[in-house]
Amino acid sequence: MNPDILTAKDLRKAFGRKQVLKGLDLSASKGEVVGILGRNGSGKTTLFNILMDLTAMDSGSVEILGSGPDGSGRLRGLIGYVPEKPAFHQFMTVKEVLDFRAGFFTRWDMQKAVELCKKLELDGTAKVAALSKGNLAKLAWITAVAHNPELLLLDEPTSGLDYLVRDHILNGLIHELADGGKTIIVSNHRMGEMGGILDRVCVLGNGVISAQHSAEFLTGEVFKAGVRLEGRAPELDGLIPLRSAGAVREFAVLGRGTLEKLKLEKSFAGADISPMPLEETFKVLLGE
Amino acid sequence: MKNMLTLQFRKSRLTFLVMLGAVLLSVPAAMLFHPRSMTGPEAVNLAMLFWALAGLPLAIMTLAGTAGSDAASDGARAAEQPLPESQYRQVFSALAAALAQAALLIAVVYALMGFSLPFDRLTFVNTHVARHYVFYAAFLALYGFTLSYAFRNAVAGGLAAAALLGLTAVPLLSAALFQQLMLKLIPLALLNTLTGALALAGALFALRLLCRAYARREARAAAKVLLASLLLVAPAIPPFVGLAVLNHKAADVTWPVYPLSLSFREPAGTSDVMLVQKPFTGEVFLIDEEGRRAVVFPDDSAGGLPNYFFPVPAFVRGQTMSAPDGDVWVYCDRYDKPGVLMKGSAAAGLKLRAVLPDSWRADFVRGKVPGIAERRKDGFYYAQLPSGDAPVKWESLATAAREAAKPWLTGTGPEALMDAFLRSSLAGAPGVAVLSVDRKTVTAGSRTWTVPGALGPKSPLIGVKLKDGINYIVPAREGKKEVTYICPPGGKARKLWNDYFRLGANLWAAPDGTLWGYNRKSRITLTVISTDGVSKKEFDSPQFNILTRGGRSIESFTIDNVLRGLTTDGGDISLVREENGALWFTIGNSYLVRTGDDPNGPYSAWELPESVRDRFWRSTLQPTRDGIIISAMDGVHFMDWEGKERKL
Repeated sequence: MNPDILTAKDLRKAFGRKQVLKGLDLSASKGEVVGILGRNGSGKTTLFNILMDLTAMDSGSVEILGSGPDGSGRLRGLIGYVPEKPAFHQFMTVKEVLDFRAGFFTRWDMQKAVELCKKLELDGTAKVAALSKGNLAKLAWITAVAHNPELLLLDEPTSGLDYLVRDHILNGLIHELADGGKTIIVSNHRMGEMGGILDRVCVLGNGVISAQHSAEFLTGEVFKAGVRLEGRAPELDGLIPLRSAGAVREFAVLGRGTLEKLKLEKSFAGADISPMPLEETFKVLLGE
Repeated sequence: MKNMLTLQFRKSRLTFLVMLGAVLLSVPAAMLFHPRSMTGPEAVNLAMLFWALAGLPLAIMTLAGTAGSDAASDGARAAEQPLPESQYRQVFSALAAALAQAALLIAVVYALMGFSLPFDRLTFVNTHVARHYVFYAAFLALYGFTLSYAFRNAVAGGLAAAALLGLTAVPLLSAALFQQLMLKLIPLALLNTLTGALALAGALFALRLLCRAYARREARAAAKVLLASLLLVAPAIPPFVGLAVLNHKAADVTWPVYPLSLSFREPAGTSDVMLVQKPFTGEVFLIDEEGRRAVVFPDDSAGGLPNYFFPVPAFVRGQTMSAPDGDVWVYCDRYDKPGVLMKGSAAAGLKLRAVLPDSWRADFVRGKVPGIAERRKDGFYYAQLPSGDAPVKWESLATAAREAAKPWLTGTGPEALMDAFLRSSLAGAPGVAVLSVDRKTVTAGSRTWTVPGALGPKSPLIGVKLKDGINYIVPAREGKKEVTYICPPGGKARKLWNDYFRLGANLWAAPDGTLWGYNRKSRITLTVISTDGVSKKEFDSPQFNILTRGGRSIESFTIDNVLRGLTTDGGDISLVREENGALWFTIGNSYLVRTGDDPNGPYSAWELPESVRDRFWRSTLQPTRDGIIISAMDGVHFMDWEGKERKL
């Protein structure tokens, strides 16, 4: 077991009367890629802001690479962060952004930054104000990784990007980072596209991590069961009704154990059981 | 931090350069387009004055306001907050850049003014603003930034900062103006320092709290914003508290009711009472050595906001005169009230004897029969002061309409008419002598003295009561010299001093009858302690001529030795008593001193109450038979001849 790079315990945060995080626990070990799955407004960005020491938690504890959030911004020097909506000073060029950022990070690798610009086809002389959404995302990626952080926080990193850019990032950068032993916490509405690199998926719901599953579980132990059922469905943990059309009903089955129990049920004799696609699995986990 | 500062400078570069350019361009513009009545450098100075009073404040509000609102904007937060610097340092760097730019603009304007401020050509308020300019500018920048950050709006923040600056500065300016023109009642330097410290530290702390509430979104954000608001308003509290204390202390201030004019005809004031006014409440009362009071005008503090910001004294004028029955006649006139004529005593109270609704001025007349002469809008009036409760009957002496056109200097105008009336009223009165037209004979009742070359034939000579009876002091000319004669009740006139002395001009009588005066002063160096510290000051020390009640003459008596041993900034020196060779003097509002008749002999000195020492611009002491009544900043005090002091 690799040592934990990130440990968050009993995180609580409220904005006014709205309690967003209600005792959230989260950890990630070195080299682990953790997906945070949650619906809009579930607190993903709040969680990321707390981990980045941008927002103060009301209570709880966070430890990242041996340091905790103290408002000094030191923690942000250890983390590579890609926000959902990257922003840079409009009056700067790409090169100036890189030069400016280099002044803040002791481990900034300008050569790496320049190479990434070439690789992602980002013009260093271009003004930020003139960059497209995709190019802004590329610049965000470059500034996030150029200082060689051990931990990356990716908040909807492919949101709004076209296919080519997304492909660049997903099949290029993230794989490279994951293979390089970096710890990555990523939230994404379309978690399916991340499927190949995730080690674990945590479901953020009702202010806590309500469930978490390994990648093996999600790809190998989640099934879809279709059956003609007149009466009530058996009450089994991990059996989740999905949809129905008259007597024909469809269920998600979480876990091989649940599947075995289900097969013993007479009402499920002759049920059509098949592995559930990953994208659909995430929908089930989100309760959609 | 350096990177953040560089960034902030770059963000506001354009705005700053435009302002700097405008300042620099105003120099050739002023040189080229100034009016003919002004030289080029004067026009540049005027342009810089405009920048100092209007342009720079606006520039500072703009720079600080835009920097503050930008620091709070979503764009800046998204671009800068992920950087590994604390959010407060990020915001603070924006503030520091705005402050530096403001300082640079001020420095440029100051440099264009030749690194000097024209204090001699500035009004009081402008002088005060100039002296505290850096504080006001820092306040505006700091508050403009912080409030714009709070409101996320440069205009609202800048205007709120200007309003808060006004709220803080106006009471300070009022207090400073009051203390400069009137009295030093509150420790203004301390107040300024406290306000400055509160403003600078408070705004920085408030900014930190706002940053924690807005940027870091810490718990209890509303409480933090509330606390920040209180901190931002806090600097206005000391000035208002100071102003309240000033008003409170002003209500205790007393000073004597001074007569409108001092002249030969001024009646011997009442010796054991003082007519005192509380100028900031309007109260006027007669008070004796025991502290018994009789009210002339009751307290009617004006109140109201203008008066709160600048308490205005009532400046009552008036006179007292002893009545034959032991009572006191009191005349008082306040600019906003009808004058009053009252009679009574401090112990038994005063009774209103007449209202003088149209009085410009009035003088008691110690003539054959005591009376009062009054100048009204339409002329001069006279009334005898009746004994008992008989009404005061006025008679017209002259109407102003007919006489007003005649100039006073010709001796035919109404003022001269009144003067002549008063002189004629005095002549022949008990204790008053007159000089013959040939200036050789002095006559008082049936007594006649020969004084060759006597001076001042038109002025009646008021007698002084010494142990042997009423004596008359007569100045005279002997060849090219001026000398002073004394006309005693039981003998011929004899030369008293080889110098000119006239009662009421340069010779005065202490309450016990001792005469004293001086014509010359010697220059000595004194140690002075003031609010500015200890310093040396050249001072003119009078050389007194003294005539005791026993008829003993002392000439050229000085108290230089005493003055050198004290720390005082001088002030009027008066002889207030003589007893068995011992002399008592008051030195300004600072000391009561007792000496022997040897100028270099031992002496005793007692400090007057702290609340009167060096606080007033003229004497507020009233010598009586038993000591001195002192009207002071905190009320009325009494000090006996042994220096024992009590508050009345």
